[in-house]
Amino acid sequence: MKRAAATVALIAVCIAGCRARNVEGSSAADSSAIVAASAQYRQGWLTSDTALALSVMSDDVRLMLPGTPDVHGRDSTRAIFVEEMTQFHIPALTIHRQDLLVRGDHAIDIGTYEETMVPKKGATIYATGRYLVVWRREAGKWRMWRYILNEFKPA
Amino acid sequence: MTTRPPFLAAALFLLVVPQIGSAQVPADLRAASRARNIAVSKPDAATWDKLTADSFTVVFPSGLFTKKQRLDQIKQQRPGQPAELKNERWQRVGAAFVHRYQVDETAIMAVWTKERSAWRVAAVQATVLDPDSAAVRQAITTAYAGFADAMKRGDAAALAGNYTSDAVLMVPNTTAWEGRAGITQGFTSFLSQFNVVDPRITTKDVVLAGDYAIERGTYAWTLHPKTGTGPDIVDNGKYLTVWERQADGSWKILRDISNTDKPGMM
Repeated sequence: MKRAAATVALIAVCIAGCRARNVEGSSAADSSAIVAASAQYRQGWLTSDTALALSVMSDDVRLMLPGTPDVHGRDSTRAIFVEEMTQFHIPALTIHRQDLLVRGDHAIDIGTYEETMVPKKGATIYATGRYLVVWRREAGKWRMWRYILNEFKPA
Repeated sequence: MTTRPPFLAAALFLLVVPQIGSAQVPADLRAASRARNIAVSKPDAATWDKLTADSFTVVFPSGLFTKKQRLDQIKQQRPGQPAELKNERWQRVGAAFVHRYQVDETAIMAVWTKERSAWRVAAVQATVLDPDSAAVRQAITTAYAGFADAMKRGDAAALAGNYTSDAVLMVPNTTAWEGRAGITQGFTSFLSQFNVVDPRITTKDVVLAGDYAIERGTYAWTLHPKTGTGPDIVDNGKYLTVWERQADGSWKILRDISNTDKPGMM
């Protein structure tokens, strides 16, 4: 189920390339905190550390992955992460963040990703697509609350 | 001895008592919570009665009701689907548990206590979270009615009219449609290939965030190819849409992304 591994895509490293409108209404501290949380999430996937990846997820997180109905809640998300991390190693991932729109206790994070997924058995998968993550401030921390991916078909 | 309703006492504790993970909630309590939610929807008055304390009170926006009054209401309800509980949180408060969740635009707090060796709800408070979000949801519902009609008649310009001038529509497996012109072009191309049969767009939740409304929903449609002998494509999936409040108070789509639920159609 390579889609879930593409969750790795919800990382974000750069905000320099974000659209100009993102600056308006955004708090630099909030944007930095979200980027840091994304980096933590990314690190969790790159090191196959389920707990680290889960640490930035809301208890009410909803994963909206292609080809399957929603996955809702931390327990179900953990199961997906464990399955993915058991099946795949993610040695490479490139993120192009396009939007980071912060409004109060919510933020909308949009971009594209390219990732390399190495299965325990079988050929390496190169996946690309888009993501939209809704972050929510919970008890002062930014948590992934909603995210959705859509993939580009392999060339 | 205080006569405060239990939810008031619980509300004070909520300020200082940390939330707990669902795994820390006793299994029999979680089962009771699920059963009671189903009992409300069926409706199953006997199960609801069994899972509700004798001294139960509920505060709805319309007023306060006793157990007997609420039971009478439930008996007159029509059967429906169990409510989808969102933003669920549990907190232990002494020997009781506070269960907070959201159904549509209403926040609900239920206090569970052990009574006669079984978990029962002692009190419930239902609060309309944000009247504004209900109004925005209605505006979105209205917009989608027009959206579906435009799809059925193949009107790309009308569809694109729902988007802001700098909107981005992220369709799977193709480059994003950007700006009103790009979105018009994208819909024009799409509608030149397919007749859209019976489009259904269902909003699941809406959250207001400043001048944005973040909407989650599902779609279902049948695409009938206009040329060739290809079969109809029956699809359903989900989406996140970011609406932006316009200067005139209307709402238009700023960002839109979706994917299919069907394996092999990604």
